[in-house]
Amino acid sequence: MSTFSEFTKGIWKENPILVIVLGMCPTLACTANAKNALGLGLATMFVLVGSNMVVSLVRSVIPKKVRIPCYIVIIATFVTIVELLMKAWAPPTLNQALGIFVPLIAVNCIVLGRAEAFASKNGLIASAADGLGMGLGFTLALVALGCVREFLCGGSLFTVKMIPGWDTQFMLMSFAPGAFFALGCFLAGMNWLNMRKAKKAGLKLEVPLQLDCRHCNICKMHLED
Amino acid sequence: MSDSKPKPKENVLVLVFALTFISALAAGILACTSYLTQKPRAAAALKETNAALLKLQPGFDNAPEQEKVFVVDSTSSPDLSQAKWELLPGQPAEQGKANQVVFYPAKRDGKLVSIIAKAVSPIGYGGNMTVMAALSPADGAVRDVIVTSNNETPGLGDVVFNRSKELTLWGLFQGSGKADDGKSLPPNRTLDFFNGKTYTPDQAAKWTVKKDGGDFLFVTGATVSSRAVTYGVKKIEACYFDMKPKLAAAFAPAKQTN
Repeated sequence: MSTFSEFTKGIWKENPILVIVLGMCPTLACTANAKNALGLGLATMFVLVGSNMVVSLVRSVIPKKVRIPCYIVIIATFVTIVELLMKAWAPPTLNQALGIFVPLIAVNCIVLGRAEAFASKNGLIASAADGLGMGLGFTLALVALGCVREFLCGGSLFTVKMIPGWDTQFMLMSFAPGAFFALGCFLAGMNWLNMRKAKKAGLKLEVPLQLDCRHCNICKMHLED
Repeated sequence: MSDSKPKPKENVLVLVFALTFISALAAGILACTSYLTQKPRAAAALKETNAALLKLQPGFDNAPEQEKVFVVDSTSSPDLSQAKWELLPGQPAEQGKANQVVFYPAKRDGKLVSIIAKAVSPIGYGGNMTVMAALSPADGAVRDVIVTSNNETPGLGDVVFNRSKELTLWGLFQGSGKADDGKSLPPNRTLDFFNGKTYTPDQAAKWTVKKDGGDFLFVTGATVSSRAVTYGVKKIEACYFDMKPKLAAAFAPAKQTN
């Protein structure tokens, strides 16, 4: 795989939210509006790129048995750096809104997942590209989800009212149930697109082998009919 | 990685060394980052406080953050009539302590134009809520109230104190699309109801929401949040009433230095 395809795969083909479905806690909690979604997405992207690069640099030095604790220390370091930087330079409203979710990037599955599944087996540049692509895919999916939820809630995008006179807020969309509804629709849409594409090519939908998600039966249910 | 077949054992000391080394390195990097961002972080925090102060009293020319005084209730009891307020001038206290009120003097040309107070109301629906109020230096009447931090339910509890100006697409095209111009405070029914109110101990029972037999407005469905805001302003006012002479003395001497 070329470096460029390592970068692009995270955006669509192996999108961390819509295909791998990892890191759901911030996805559901921080997408009530597009601004917060963008902030958290960018913070996660920074951590992903940083941790991927460092993990790929030290991958041959770290003993196999303690690799997971080492990765977590590396990830947590980057998360703390992001937190300090955000406290210093990010707008105060963003800091207040993201609050607990920035420290929680440290336990976001997608970060450790990429460190273990990709960066620990690949070189520096490939790992950086993978982190950047995955981070971008994560951010884009988060922002899309945030836009849909914010718009359905009150007709605004990025806290700017798009439809004047939309005064009654549809609060369900900005609460957790709305997050599940929106995410469910997104996942269904993604599956539908992929299945249509497979059908057109005369194939059955195959799960990308490198995802290693055999424990989940959702795709198999589709494949059987 | 399951250990199904016997593998050459890695030396425990090597593992310990690897983990220790990584942790030490991480600690060093974090210490450096923390040190480097110390000043910008403090500046950002100061800017945030100043922004809130400017909303309540635009156009002061002193540094209220440096002249603030802490008033602490040694009893820490939720019943404000039992409170024993003590003045701690310029002593840094823990942020967000529920038993303290912080007073900031806002001055223009050396003259006290407004006393701004900050208190934590611990009885919000989601816990602590920080209430700030500008008081008239003459009689302590409330001028404006804002809520600077809260954990209330978005869209339900925060209706009680939401003062944000709405950005519209049309407004952005017209060029008036600034969220906070810092000049005027957007109106809020429940908060504006406090304006002009003063406190005396014999009215203490009236300083609560109408539902509890008091004087103040509440939002149906958000009574707990309304109660919390009222309690915060009551705390500020009760504290000011008790400490009025001492506060006046604390804020007066700076006149000569200006």
